[in-house]
Amino acid sequence: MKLLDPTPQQAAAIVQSMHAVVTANGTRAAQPLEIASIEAIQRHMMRIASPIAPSAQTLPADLETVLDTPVLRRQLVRFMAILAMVDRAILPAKVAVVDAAASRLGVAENGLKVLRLASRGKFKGITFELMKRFVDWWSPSGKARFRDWMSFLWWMLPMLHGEKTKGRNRELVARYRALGELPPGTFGRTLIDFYTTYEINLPGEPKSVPWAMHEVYHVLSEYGVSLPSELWLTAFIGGTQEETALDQILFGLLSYHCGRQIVLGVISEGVFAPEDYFRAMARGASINVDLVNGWDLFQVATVPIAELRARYNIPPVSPYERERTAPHDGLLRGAGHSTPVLEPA
Amino acid sequence: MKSIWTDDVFRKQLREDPRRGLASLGIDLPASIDVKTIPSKGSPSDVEDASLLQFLMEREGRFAYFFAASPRSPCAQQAAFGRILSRELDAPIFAQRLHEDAAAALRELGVAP
Repeated sequence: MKLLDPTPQQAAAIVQSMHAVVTANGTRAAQPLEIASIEAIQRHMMRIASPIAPSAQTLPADLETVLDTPVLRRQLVRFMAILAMVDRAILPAKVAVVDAAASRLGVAENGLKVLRLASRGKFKGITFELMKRFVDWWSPSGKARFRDWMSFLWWMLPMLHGEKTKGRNRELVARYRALGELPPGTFGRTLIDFYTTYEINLPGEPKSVPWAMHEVYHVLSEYGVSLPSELWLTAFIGGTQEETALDQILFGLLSYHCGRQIVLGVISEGVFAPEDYFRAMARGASINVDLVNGWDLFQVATVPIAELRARYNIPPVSPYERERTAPHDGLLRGAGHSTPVLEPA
Repeated sequence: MKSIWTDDVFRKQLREDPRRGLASLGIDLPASIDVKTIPSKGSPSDVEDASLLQFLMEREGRFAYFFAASPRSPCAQQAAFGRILSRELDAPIFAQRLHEDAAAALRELGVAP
């Protein structure tokens, strides 16, 4: 995602379009959470210190003319998709406004399919869609073919693995375990400490997944594992990404704000707080490296993680975030992080 | 609160009629506040049908909530509190942690070595 720097006219068009979603083109009253979300988007993603009010509640007639760059257009559609979920009902009337804007702006955004499925209550369809998008990424061809599905499922079912794969898994585990021998505060050691602290099986171990990206985002962002922090993390990850940004974001909102079971595991409702959420997204959007394509964690494992965060332009955890996460211990602690280990009472 | 995880009937009541269930814990909510329970599992292998209960209270579009997490589910505790608050001493993972780093494992139990 990109942090925006719109002209006043462009900002007005974006704000009016966002209000058009939450009011379903002026047919419903906006909820306080939705208004707070639009203001937080302006503050954090559009860098507007004093949020502006809309001049109307419908899509601007000159939207296509005013938003004259692909980045502005795509980003607006993403904001609108997010706003369509804030009321937790995911109303078709609101999703229709997002679709109308995307169509007028010529934006093809994969996440809109997820949004449409959600508005129709097709949550198993969302699970499949997100898995398919993941297998697309997993596939060497960039497109989920039958053989890629089989390969993916086989990886996820270690009970089917033979001796050859078990041997490869042992090598994979050993490679990760070696990171634990690095000095405290290095990226690799911090990553392995995260696995140990939260009792997550290393890639290659039984009941594990053979990649570490979710955990990498945890340690880079310093966001912990409580539900509010996991929601922040999805905003942060979405902020760092482009093609798959809405996959992360909509999954997070569906699971932790709308209480919908998309994958196995915990769910919640009402955890979304706009100021926190869009601040985390802006933190992710500040990143200057593509972690999805071609990035290799082992190449930077020996770098002190504080240096790596600075190199990647990830802003430090703010005092605001520190205060907000205190009640649920929502920041990672210890070497490599800006929060010390909690001593026993 | 411990009875949530030892009394299946009470846990069922908290899921189906949270207002009444919470009242029996001394948490009386006025009628103007909507309350619902969101159950989920911290991990697919958790023994309870739901090892994490979220109680969501809502009035005029504003929320408040709190969690109850099973003492037998480290994942549910992490989701609710950001860390593991309690664990069973006979859990295999604890034995492994004790073996690998006894000082850290004891610190987790609140025992400063």
